[in-house]
Amino acid sequence: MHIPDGYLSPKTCGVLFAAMVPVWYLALRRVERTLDVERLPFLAFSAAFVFVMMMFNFPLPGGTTGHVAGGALAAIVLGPWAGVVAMSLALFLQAILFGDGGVTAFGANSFNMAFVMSFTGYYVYRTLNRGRDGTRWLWAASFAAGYASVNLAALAAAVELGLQPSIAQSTTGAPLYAPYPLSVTVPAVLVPHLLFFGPVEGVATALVVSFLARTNADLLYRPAEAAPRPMWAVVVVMALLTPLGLLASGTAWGEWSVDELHTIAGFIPEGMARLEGWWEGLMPGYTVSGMGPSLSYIVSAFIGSAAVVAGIYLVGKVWHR
Amino acid sequence: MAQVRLPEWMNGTKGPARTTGLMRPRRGFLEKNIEGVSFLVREMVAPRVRSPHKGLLQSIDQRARVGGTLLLVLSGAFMKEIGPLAGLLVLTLVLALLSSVSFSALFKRVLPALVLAAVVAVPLFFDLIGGQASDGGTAGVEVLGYRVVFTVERLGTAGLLMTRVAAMVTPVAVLLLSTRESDLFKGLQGLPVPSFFVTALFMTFRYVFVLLKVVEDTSLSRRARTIDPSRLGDAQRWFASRAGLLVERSLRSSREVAMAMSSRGFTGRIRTLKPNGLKARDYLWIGFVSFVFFISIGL
Repeated sequence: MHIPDGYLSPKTCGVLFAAMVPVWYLALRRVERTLDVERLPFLAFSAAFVFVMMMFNFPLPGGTTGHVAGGALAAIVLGPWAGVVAMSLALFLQAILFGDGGVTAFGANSFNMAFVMSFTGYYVYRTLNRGRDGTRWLWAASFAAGYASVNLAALAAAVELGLQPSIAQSTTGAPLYAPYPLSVTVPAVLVPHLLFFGPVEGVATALVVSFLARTNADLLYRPAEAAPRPMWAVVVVMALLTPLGLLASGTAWGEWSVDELHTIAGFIPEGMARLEGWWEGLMPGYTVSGMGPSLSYIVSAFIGSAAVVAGIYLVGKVWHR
Repeated sequence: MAQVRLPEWMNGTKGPARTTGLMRPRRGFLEKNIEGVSFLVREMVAPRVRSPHKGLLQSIDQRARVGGTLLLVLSGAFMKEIGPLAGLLVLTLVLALLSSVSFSALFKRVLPALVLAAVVAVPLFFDLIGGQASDGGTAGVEVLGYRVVFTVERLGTAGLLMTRVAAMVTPVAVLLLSTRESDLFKGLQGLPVPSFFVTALFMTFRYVFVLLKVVEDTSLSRRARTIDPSRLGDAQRWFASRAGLLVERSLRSSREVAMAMSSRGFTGRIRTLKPNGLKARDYLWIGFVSFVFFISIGL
């Protein structure tokens, strides 16, 4: 389920990274408030636990094995917010040090495995286990949490991959990134998860949660009873809906050119007509007067990189002052 | 003299493995798995411990090195054709050469991503993926009842995917093979990544080995006490108990580390030393990779 580099377009990576920024912010704030000074080693050990869990395979009948993603388990043990942070840390470490999952796809992988998996797993577990005692209910709730969370995360990954041919094409219409449409990616990713990886995740989650409940139930996360804050729900829903923007065509709302505005509204406001084209940039359209398009483009890139160096130099000087 | 009665299962010929000094005890799946994972993690880290000190990348400041590598990866994401991507790959290989990075180690790191890309690309040539009749793929050969068609378009799409993956994975592999972990984390701290996150990341990296050691030790103790490792139910129960143990150890250790940190004056705020200023060659490197990045947007 770790999407590597090269399969998602920069647009998709950017959108999913942007969707994760408020989630990371809220998760860090929440963990910071509840754990205080202990938060750093706690998070580090939690992430290390998730990392180690993800690396081990689970024994299955017939001598086969299955890989555990651990998102639901982390959320049940640590709580959903700490689960998000721990999973994100583990995913970053896997991407940067072990090459498992892409560096550019870190936002997408975090969205699928840290956010979707943690929250789905946690809320499925809580809903099914609420107000019920007994190991059977606990086992069933943990199994359902693991099963549902891994399948939803897989569905998210499949949708992200399947959208690529429609949002990133060459001039000839050939796909530039992951080449298969939704009609292929969704069944290809989801069927093995529904039939194989889902049950593996469910059984592994249920076994570990049951063991903890039997031996040391205090280790399982218990939320403080407080009324949910609607603002958080709004942010979570917004973050979940953000990737829908990938499906939209045309320019962003309000960023129309005068011609587009004329097509939409039927007229051009006078002020806009007057200011349109007032400032076209130093090198409009990456062109330099008197130069061919290729040379102009190279000169533009050179000036851009010189501006980056100058910016870093200035920031460095201010920082050292 | 009383006769020693052996248990029934020890008389069986097809039963559990005998662990005499003459025979190696049979390893179950779990032991193999744990040994494999531990070996893999240590193997991934080992090349960086031995990473060469001298070379082009090693002479560049860690922040510029990490940031520049990320820009090279991003350049690969923006490029739209095989030619520029192949150029980026060649450029990265030249960087590896100038940084004394072993090509065999580099190949080993990049190979899994390439194999995965090849596996993903293969179905492109089968007609079970619909909607491709328009690319002229009407002829073809039958393989296992499916028509396999090679056309310029399909080869181009598969080639683009594989070249892009190679061009994007190789810079990160070169960075890892030429940079020690401590330098890598220092480099990340120079980027706009919260220092809290980087410190947690560094601690996570260290604790992974602590937890792996716990798992290895428990695996060894299980092996020493197990005669028949083949029962699935036992293996699953053992897996659950070890995962539970890991949770327990993680939480206990985190409390101990937090107490140790508090007793040394840690109040929850991370303070880091101000890094040294960048040198002329660092600016040159940043300028160069920025140039590659800006060029890549239009290629």
